[in-house]
Amino acid sequence: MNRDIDRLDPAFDPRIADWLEADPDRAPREVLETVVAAMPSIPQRRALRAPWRLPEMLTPARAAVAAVLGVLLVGGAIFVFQRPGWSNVGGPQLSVSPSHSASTSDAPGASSPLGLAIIGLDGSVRQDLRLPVDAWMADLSSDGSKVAFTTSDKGFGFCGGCGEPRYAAVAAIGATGGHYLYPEGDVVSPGGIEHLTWSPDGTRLAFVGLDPTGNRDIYVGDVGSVDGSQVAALTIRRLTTDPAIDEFPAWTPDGETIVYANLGSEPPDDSGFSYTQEIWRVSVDGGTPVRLTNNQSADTMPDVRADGLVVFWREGQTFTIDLEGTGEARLRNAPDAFNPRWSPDGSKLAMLRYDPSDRARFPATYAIGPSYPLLDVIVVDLATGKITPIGPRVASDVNPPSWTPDGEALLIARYDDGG
Amino acid sequence: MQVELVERASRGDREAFTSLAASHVDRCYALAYRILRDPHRAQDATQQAMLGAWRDLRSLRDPERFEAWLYRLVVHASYVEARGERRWMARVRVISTELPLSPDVARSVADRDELETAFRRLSPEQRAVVVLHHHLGYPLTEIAATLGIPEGTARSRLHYAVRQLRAALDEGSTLVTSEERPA
Repeated sequence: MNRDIDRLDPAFDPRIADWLEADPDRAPREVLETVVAAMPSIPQRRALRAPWRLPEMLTPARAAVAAVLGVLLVGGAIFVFQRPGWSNVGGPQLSVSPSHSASTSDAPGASSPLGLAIIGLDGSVRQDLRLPVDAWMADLSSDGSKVAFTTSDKGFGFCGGCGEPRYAAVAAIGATGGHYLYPEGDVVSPGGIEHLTWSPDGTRLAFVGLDPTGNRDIYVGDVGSVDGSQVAALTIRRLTTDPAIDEFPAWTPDGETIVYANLGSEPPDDSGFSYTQEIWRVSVDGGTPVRLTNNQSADTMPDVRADGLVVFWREGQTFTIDLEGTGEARLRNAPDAFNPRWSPDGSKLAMLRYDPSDRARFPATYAIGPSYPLLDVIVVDLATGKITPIGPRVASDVNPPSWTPDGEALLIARYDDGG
Repeated sequence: MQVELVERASRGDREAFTSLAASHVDRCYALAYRILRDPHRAQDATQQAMLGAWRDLRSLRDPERFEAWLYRLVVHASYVEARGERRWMARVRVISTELPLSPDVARSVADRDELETAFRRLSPEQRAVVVLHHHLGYPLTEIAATLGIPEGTARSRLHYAVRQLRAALDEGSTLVTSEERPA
C-alpha cells in the first residue's frame, strides 16, 4: 500500500487503514475453481461499440462522437422500444453450472420463464407482457392499464437489480411500446430508481431514488400520459432526506401520503434486517415524516388498504397498524412470508414466501454468480387462513406482486422454468 | 507479461485468463471482503466479477488498464451483493465466555467494534471509496477513474465516510440518529 498519501491527504486516517489491514487477504480456493469451471460455458461478448462505456479510453475523436450521441440520447429523453426486439436485450446466456440447460426463447409468441406476466389466482397465464426479461420492481396501476418497472441498459444482459445504469420505464398494457422515464427537477441519478409504485389515480409514481452520494430516499414523480408517443419525463420532488435508507413506498388511498420503511440508525445484520427498521409516513407535499412503529424489531414492506389500514412485515410475522400509529395487531392467519399486498377488496394478501427446497433456485443461467433461492407467490384469505400458491415464482423479495382491479389476478415478475 | 495475457485472453485463450485470474483473485477477494464485511458475499462478488471480466474482456480497449477495470467490476459486484436478497433468519445472541481483557486490548477491541459498526452504516458506494483509499492507497483521481465517477463525487463520499468513521472512534461522537430526522 502507498503510505505516501497519508502525508498529503486529510481524508486519510491510519486507524482506518490499520483496521482494514487486519481483514483477510486470501481468497478461498473454491473462488478460482468455480471461475475456471464456469468459463467454458460463458461466451465472450463482442467488443462494445459505444465509446462512452469506457470513459477512460476516450480519444478526442471518440469524445466528439460520444458527445453527439449523448445529445441525441439524453437531450430527447425518449427511448422508444419495439416489442419484437425487447426480449433479446439480455444477450448471451451465462451459466456457472455447466449441467444446467434452461434457456429462454426470443421468438415472438414463445413463452419465457422470465419477465412480467399477469397470472390468475388459478395459476393460469392471462397475459405474458413480453416486456424486458430483466423487468424488476414492477407495479401495475390500480386501473390495470399500465405497468411501471426498472430495466437495465441495453447490452448488459440480465441481472435483476444490478447492472448500471437501470432506468425506470412505463408501458401501457396491450400497447406495442413504452417509454423510459428520465427524472427531472431534483437531484437523483437517472439510473438510481427503485421500488416504483403508482398513485391510486395513476398519474404519479412514488419510488426510491439513489442520489449521487449514494443515499436512498423517497421521491414522487408526475408522469405524463403513456400512449407510445409522448415524452416520458418524470418531474420529481424529494420527500425524505435522512441518511438512513428509505424504501418500499406505498400510497394511501387518497393519494396524499406515502407510507414507507426506514432502516434506522443500526445497519442490517446477516439476515438483511435491522431492529431499528420502522414504518413511517410522509405527505406527498413534503414536510416532517411521522413514525408509525417504534420497537426493537425490524418493521418493513408496508402496504395500505383502501380503508387506510397499514399492513407490514415484522420478523416473520404480519402486522397491521393505522395511519396514526395506533391499534397495532398481528394477523394470525398470515404465514411467514414477505411483502404483503392487499387485494382490492382488502380480504386477501398476496405475499412472497421462500421455498426451502434446494430445487427452487434461481439458476445462475440468468445471473452472474451463484444461484439464489426462489420465492413462491401465495395468496392468503385472511378470514379463513387458506393459502393458495399461485405457481410462478420470483427471484427476489423486492419483486412483490400487484393486483389487477378485479382482484382475480396478479402482475408477477416471474421466474418459472416449469420445474 | 500481463498485457500479453490480457490480449491472449481477449481472443478466447482460457489458459491465459486463468493465469490472470489466479494472479488477481486474492486482491479481488480482499477488496470485496473489505466492502461487504462478509466472506460468503465477498466470495460471490469475486466470482461474479471475474466471470464478468471473462465475458466482457473484449470491451477493454487498453490491456494495461486490466487491473483497474477488474477492480471496478469487483466493486460493482459488491454493490449488487450488498443490495442482494434478504432472508429472514432467527437471530441468536452469542454470550461471550472469554476472560476480561486488559484495558489496552479492551480499548483496541472496542475501537474495532466501533469501526465495524460505523462502517456497516455506510452505503456500499461510500465503503468502496474508503477501501480503495485506505487499503489500496488510491488517490482520489484513481478512485474516480476506477469507479467511473466524477472526482468530486469520490471526494464527497470519502470525506463523509471518514468523518463518520472518525466520529465513531473519537469520544463524544454525535452521529445523526433516526430520531433527529431532518424534514
